[in-house]
Amino acid sequence: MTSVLAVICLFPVGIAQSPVAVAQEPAVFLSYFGTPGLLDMPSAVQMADGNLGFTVAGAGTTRRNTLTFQISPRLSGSFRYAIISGFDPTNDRFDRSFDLTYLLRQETDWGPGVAVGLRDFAGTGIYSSEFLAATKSFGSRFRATVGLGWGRLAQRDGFDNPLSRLSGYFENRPRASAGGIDTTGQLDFGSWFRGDAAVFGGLEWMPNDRTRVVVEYSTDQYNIEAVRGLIDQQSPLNIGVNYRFRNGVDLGLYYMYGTDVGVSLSYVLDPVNPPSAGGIEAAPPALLPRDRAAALSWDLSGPRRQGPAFDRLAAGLAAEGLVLNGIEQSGSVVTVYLGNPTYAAGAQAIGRAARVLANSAPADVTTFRIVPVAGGIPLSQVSVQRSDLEELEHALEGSWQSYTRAEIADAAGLQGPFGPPLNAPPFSYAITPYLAPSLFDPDNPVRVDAGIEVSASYAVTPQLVFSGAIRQPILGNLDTATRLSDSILPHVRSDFALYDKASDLELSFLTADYFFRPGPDLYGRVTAGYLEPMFAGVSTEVLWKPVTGPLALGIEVNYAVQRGFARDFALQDYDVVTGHASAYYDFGAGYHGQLDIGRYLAGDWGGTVTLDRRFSNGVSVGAFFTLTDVSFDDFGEGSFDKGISLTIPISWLSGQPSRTDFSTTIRPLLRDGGARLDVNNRLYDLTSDYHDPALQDRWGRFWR
Amino acid sequence: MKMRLVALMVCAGLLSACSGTAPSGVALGGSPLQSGVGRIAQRLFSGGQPTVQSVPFQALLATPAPAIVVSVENREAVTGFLRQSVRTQGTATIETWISPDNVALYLQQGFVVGTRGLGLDLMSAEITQSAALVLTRRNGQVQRFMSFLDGNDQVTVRSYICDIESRGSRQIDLGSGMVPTELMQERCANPDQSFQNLYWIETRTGQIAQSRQWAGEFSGPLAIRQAQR
Repeated sequence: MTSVLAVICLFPVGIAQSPVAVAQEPAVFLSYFGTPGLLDMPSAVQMADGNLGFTVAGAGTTRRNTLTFQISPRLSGSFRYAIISGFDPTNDRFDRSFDLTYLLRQETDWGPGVAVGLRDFAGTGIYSSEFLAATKSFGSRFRATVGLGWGRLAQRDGFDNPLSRLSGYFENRPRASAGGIDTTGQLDFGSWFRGDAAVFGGLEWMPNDRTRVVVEYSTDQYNIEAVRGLIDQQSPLNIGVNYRFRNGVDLGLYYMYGTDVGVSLSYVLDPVNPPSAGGIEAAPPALLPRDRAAALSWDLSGPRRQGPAFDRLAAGLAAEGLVLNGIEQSGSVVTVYLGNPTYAAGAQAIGRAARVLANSAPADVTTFRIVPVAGGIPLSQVSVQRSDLEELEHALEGSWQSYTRAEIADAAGLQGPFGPPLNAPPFSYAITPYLAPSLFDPDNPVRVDAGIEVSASYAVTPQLVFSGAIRQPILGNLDTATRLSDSILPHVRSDFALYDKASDLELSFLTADYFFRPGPDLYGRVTAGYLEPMFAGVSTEVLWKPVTGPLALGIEVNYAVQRGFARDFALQDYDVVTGHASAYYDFGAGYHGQLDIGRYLAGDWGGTVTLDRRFSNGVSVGAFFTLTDVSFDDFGEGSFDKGISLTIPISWLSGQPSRTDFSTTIRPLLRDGGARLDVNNRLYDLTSDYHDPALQDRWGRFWR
Repeated sequence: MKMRLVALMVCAGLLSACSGTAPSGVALGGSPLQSGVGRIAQRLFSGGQPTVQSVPFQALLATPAPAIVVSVENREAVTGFLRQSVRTQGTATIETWISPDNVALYLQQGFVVGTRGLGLDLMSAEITQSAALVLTRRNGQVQRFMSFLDGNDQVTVRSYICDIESRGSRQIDLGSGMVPTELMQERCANPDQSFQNLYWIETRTGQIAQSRQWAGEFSGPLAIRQAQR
């Protein structure tokens, strides 16, 4: 069970707060399928909005690893990676499946919750089934579920589909894709809710908030497994016990099918309830009385800014981990160009800089204009009145009031005197550990390398930045992959195993970036060099992004040459012009969409749709798919590129300020169609932390 | 945990509570504070481990800044705080107190009106109604407002109805002999939260000599007492 252990290690066992159960409603437990439910059977229970559930479960010859995300209060989605030993004559079966469940009706005092769900609607169809389930709680200790299942959930006691009264269409279920891999990745909607139906049900008893005892009547006979001799069901009744430990890890023990003992481990992560408790970083500088702060003076006119007030400002910002890239005074307004290598929340960097300014600036300064800078370009300007800071530092609604009184605007015109850091060196480096997982190789579903990464950057001029990183794997088994690509497309991504095998000390990237502001609301970037682990070349991008407003548009054009397998300076023969027109849209409430249309690395043309749920604190869960002019056949297994992305800020875990994220993209398969260049410093990510809505969403940290 | 026990060692020799030979017992049978203060004394004597002190705290050590000892009861953590600054804005005078490990506590007339660095921090509090009764040792009902930062960077303002009443006079030991005080109790609630604060009001000065104040669901009660350096 190495895969089980590895998955468990990916999430923070032990430091999480287990969510406090609301007194009225029974606690939510995840099923053997990794979705809220009974054991094999689903229910109409949903997790709390935004929760992310991880489950590893095994019984008999089947192991299931499931990630379930509560996309909205009523909609949840799951990705499952099942391993069925001995399924194929010579192999185990590695099966990826996606589920969607929608809560049609919320449970009330008088009626049950009702949910409709699709299991495995786009995989090989092994678990292909649909259900309608009703669940009612009785007090906080009992819960009953009854449901109607189709497909796999109607294998036992199936009867004529009640939907066939509506239309003969529903009478028979086409069996085409069940168990085959020829149509993987395509929606099986031709079979949804068709064929026989059956009634399943179950009872749950929660003697306390940590324990669940469950018994279910299962209508899943495991026919596909039974004909292969993998299972011999003796009973339709499955029973199980779950116990949730104080650290939030849920251990389940089951007796399934009258024959097998099963075990599960699950954990539910609540993005808005971080283990770091919203951050335990050092307190901000308190505002000093104005007579104590403003008694000093500075001279900002000369090329060398000086004076005790300037010294105090530079040192004060450095103490907060902030970089002073420039300063100018015009009458009562002082403008500070601020680099922020420290705080994930733009508002927190601005709030701390504002207080340092208030504690340093001479008495004649009444307005602080703070201009966040990255890559030598101003990203926005936030103007704060000194008197507002003094009035609102301890005000009950100080957070919201300070946001409404701050003026946030584009900084396009501000090319003022800013340059190399005045309180930090232009050269920076970091030595960090890294973890590079590779998932779902049938020979070893979880491979991982861990090692040391050394990264450095040097700003030649403020806008021209050289940066690079090298990695040295220390532990791991990425280089043990032996499965070679069978892709008939140019091998732009599918040779990853060759890269891992041929490289030891590797150059992750080595680039020169040049940033510029072509005009109001416009941002530009040119990147040249070794862009990413597999490609070198030149990348150019222009982004239109107003400081406020939901829409941003971008164009990116790249010339890319494939890098050698050793990830050194060598290049291969393959080169391509690739690029996209992109639209970014913020739907509000944390839902974020992106559409990219253009040419991909293998020369294929098409588009990518991405939908993310972004929490204010930086946690992001998303899904994407790419359709290109490569046919499903030519693409190969999986039919098209798709996946799930998960981003967790390091500060979310540690509570210490950090701008580093742990970010991973889980693809069922990494192939060559629909592959994008993975260049650093894309302009949307560079700018959005200092624009609304991110500034507003995280303004709670202004006074933190 | 941020407020590590090692932080305590900072104030060995700094606070009178640290340098005495007997634990600072408090004549408060059954009060939660008693165990808190007992723990402080116990830990302060229990060895000298090295510690990291923030630069601002080190700077304050060289000044005669007033000191308090704060116990975060939920975490069994105790540390000394020094007063960094006092600022008057409108009618409110807010004191900023900092610990060696970069936690800040904002006090207004001895009432906790903010924490920084404890996690899910108390961002601000409106306590003028409570202060008006507690400091004059009168019974009554008041409103109290507190705002908290949550794990998703949102600030939520919560309102409470509080009943304030006297629990009679108490003698407490602040390290320099017994001091007569009156114990005031403030019981606050809203539909889903409730807490109780205790204030020992020094009879002679009318000021809070020690207190036990709730700083939010995450931090829980803070036991605060004046200390002499």
